[in-house]
Amino acid sequence: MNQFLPDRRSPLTPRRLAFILGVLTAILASAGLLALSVGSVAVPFRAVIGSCTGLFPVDSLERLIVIDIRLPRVLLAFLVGAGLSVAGAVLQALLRNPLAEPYILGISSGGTMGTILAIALASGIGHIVAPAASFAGSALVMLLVYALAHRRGQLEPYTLLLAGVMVGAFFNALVLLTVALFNQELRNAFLWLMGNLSGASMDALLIAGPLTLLATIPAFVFARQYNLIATGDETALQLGVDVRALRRRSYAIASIITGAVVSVSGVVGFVGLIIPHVTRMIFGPDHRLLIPASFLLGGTFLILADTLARTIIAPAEIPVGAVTAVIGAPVFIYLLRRR
Amino acid sequence: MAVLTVDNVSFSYVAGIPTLRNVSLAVHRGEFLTLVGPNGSGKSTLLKILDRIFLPDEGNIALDGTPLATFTRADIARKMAYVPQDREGVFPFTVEEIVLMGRAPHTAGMVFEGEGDREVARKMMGLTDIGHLASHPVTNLSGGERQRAFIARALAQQPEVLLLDEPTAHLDIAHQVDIFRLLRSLSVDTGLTVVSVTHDLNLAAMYSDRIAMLQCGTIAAAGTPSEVLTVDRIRDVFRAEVVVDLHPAATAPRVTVLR
Repeated sequence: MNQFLPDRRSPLTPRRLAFILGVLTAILASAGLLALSVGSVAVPFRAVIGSCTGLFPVDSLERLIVIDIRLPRVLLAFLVGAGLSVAGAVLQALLRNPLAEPYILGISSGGTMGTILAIALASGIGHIVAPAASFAGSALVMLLVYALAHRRGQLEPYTLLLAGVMVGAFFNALVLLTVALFNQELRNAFLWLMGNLSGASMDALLIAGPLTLLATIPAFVFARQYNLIATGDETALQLGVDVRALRRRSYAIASIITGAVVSVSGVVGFVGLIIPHVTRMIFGPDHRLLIPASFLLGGTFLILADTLARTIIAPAEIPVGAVTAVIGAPVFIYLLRRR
Repeated sequence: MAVLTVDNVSFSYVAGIPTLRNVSLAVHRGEFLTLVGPNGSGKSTLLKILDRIFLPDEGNIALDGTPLATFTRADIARKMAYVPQDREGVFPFTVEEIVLMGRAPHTAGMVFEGEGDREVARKMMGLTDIGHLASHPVTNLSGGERQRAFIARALAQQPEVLLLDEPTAHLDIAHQVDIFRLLRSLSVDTGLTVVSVTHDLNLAAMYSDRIAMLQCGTIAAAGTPSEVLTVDRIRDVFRAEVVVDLHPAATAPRVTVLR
């Protein structure tokens, strides 16, 4: 395993990339199997595999639990974890800052505002209204932040960061104001703010899934250019990278992923910050490995965190954002102290 | 023959405050040219304009007789390499990973570098004396070692023209001389054209073929070291009193600051 550790490392080869991604996929599949199996009713692994593949006959109740109840939620957890991690890895490369994370562009606050308004104004909302309102809010903030950060035809990283933080703070204030005015819906609003996957449904997946997965494809394609830009804008430019276009496209990718994910899960913290960071510590900073590995590890992490969230005080459950924060904050502090 | 021609170039960061004014300069193929001048005289800006990191407000740059504006970014990267003054090193890429990045312009559209690219990277790490650091993260290196890694990366681009912004800024005297000797030998042995900004007039005098001295965005003088480095000109451009005599061990002028 020594050759995979970052302290003495030879350059990435196709073989090593394939091997590591294979191992991570196997770990992801195991986590998925575990998550489909445990819960208020325990379903044996054999029945889980049978339900998913049809390889052997399965009791219809077990099939219902696995396919209709747990599978959408596990897929959603994977999607949210994988999406946030890729968005985080992309932003960390572009801003050359290992502390950057998907919410730094203020997008989550717009999504939250949209949802809170939907909850406050239309009680008893369906599966579609809240995510749609959330995505509209995210898109609004995205456009606002980009308009503010555009100067002389290009996105300036620091202006973008400041615009993101400021617009984020403004919308957060609006969220608090709205919650104060419509306080009968306080609980739902707080669940949202903490990140929550209990609303998982096939509808939610159908909205957020294609959007997130389509937006992650260019992130894989740009991986080599992220290596160059991570060592400086001018060096990337002189090595032939169209830095302006890469920046514009990558911020759009990160924004779309974040907006889509927030619309179905609320604000799940720490995943987009920690996962790319930890992945870099284990496998090194080469984005050809870092981005797909973050995708797989992020998905695995959130599946496990959500399994914990719905089983630890079963039959009640805690918001998954609380689990990621409780695990994520100490891990991050430990990593910072270790440096 | 000129590989780079600068024709009447002007540039300002802020409208109304020109950083470069009507600069004209020819860089000959295979020569080692140093750009010297006080802080703010426009040396680094000129270097960035040569690599089209900035576009001039007026005037033209030509590379091999073709206007630079007609090249794609990747075309420029295959012909010219630029080592900037500030390199950011927050992520722990290894020296070998950094040097291999220099192959990017030659391997566009590929996901991985090939064995030939690795061979080039190894050779350039050897030339810059960092082969023993290949598997070390650049974040753990000293400023000088990191500097040499970025010079190796520029060499791995196998450019015709190498542009460097203060390549010896963080180096001890032994490695300062090593870098200038390396640049000199690359220019003599392989015909590489080198344009380097430096503040060290004596290193410039010892190793470069020609010196261009900038003053407030114009070229005050360009020529051989003994033509450019005179007491009067240094007093006029740098506002420093110096003695210029002959280097005891070389056929180059030597500048000693009096006050």
